[in-house]
Amino acid sequence: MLNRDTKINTLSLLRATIAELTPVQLSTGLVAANDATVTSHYSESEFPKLKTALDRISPDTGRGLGSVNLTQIIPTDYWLGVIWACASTGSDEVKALAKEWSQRSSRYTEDGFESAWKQYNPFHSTPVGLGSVYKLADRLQYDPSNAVYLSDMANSKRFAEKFRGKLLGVKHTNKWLYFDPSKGWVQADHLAAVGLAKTVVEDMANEATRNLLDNPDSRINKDMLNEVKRASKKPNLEAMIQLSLSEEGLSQESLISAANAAAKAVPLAHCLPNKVDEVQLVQVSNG
Amino acid sequence: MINETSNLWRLIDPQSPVIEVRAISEGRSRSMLFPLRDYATKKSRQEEVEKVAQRLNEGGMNIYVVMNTIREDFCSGSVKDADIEHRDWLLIDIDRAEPAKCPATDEEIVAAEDLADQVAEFMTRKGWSEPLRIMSGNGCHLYYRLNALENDDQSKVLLKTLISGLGDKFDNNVVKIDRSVFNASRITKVVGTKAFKGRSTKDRPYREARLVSC
Repeated sequence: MLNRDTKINTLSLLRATIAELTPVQLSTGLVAANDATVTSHYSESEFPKLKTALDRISPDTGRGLGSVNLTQIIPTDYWLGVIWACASTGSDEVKALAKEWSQRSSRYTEDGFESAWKQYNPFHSTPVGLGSVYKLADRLQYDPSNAVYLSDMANSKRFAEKFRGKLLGVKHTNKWLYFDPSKGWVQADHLAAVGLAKTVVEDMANEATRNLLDNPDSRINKDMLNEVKRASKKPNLEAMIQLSLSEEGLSQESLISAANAAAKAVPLAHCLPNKVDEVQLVQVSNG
Repeated sequence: MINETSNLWRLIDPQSPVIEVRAISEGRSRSMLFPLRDYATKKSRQEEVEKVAQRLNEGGMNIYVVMNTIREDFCSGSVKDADIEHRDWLLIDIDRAEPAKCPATDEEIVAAEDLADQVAEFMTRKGWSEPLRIMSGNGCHLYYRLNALENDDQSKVLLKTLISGLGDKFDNNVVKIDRSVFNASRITKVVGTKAFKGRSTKDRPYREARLVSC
C-alpha cells in the first residue's frame, strides 16, 4: 500500500534535488527570497491581474540581473526579473503577454526575449515570482498615459523637437548634417548625435530637478528624475537617436538628399548645440 | 506462490478511479480501460486487470499501465497528459545507452542495477524515501513517490529537469537514464509480464519484469 500520508513537501524536495544537479548560476534576488511560493501557484485565472500589473510597468528599464529590487524608491533594472517571474508560470499564454509587454520598448529583440525566457532557472534557491511583479506595479504606480511621456519614444520626440531644422540624419547610416553658424551645414558623425542627445537629457534633468523642488511628493516628478537616470545610459541615448530618425524632418534617405534638404532649411542660430568643438566636421555644403 | 502481476498494486492504487492497460506490439497499440465504477469490488477489478494483462502478454504483446492517477471522468481512448488527475510517481528508467532492438544481456542488466544503486543513494541523501524498484526486463526502474503532485506545467518542468539532471550526472557508456519519461500520462511495464523486444537468444533472453524491492 502506498504511503499517502507522507508529509514531505514534494516540490521543495524536487527543487532541492535539482539545485544540486544543476548548479545555481543566478544572483540572489532581493525580493525573490520571499517569493518562492508565488511561483508554485499560478493559475489561468490570475492572467487578468498579471496583465493589469504589466500595463502599469514600463518595459523601458535596464535589463538587470533577474531580480526585482524593491529597496529602491523607484525600482530600475527590473526587465529580466519581470521576464523570469513570468517564465516561472510555465504558461505559453503568459509568455505571449510578456513578449507583448517587452515589445513596447524600442530595445526589444526577438532573440533577446527568447534567450532571456530560456535562461529562467526554476530551481534557483530563491526564484523570482509574480509576487514581485505585483509589488513592482504597486510601487511604480505606472500610468499608461505616461507611456509617451517617459520612454525612449518620448525622448526621441524631445530630441527631434530640439534639433528639427538644425539636424538631419541620413537613414541606414551613422551620418548626420547639422548647421554650424560659422560654417553652414556640415557633416557630422554618430558621436556628434550622441553629444546632442546628452543635451536633451541635461534639459530633462534640469526640468525634473526644478519640478521636484517645487513638488517633492509628486510621483510623476520622481518618475521624471528616474527617467533622466534611465535615459542617460548609452543604450537609451542610442534609442533616442535612432527613434528620432522617424520623426518628421529629422532624416533623409541619402546624403545628397540630406544636403539638398539642408540647403533649403533655415536654421535658428541661437538654438544650435554649443559643443561644436566635440564634433568631427566635414563641410559638404554652405547652403 | 505469489503471482508477480499482483505486485502491480504496489505501483497502482487499487482505489484509482480508472486504470488503463495498454498492449503494444510491432506498432500496434490497444488500450483497455478499467473504471472502478464498473466493478462490484476493487478486488474483482484487480483480478480482471491481472488476467487481461497476462492473457495479452502470452499472446506476444508488451503490457503497460498508466502509472499516474487518471481522472474519474475519463472514459475512452488512450490517456493523455490532460487526463491525469495528479502525479503519483517520479520514474527513473535506466536502460541501455545504445538503441537496441533485442533483449539486454545479463551484464547490461547488472550495469543498469549498478547505476540504479548510484541514483538511489543520491536520492536518499537528498531526502527521498526508498523507491519502488523494478527490473523492467531490459533495465531497471526506480519509482519515487510524488504524493499526488499537481499535474501542471510546473511539475512537468521540474520532473523533466530532474530526470535530465540525473542523466547528466550518472549516465555511462553502457546504460543511461531515459530523459523522455517525465510526461504525466507515462505508461510503464506491468510487472509479471515479459518484455518482448526483437529476438530472444540464449545470451539475450526475454525476461519478465519483476518487483525487486519496495
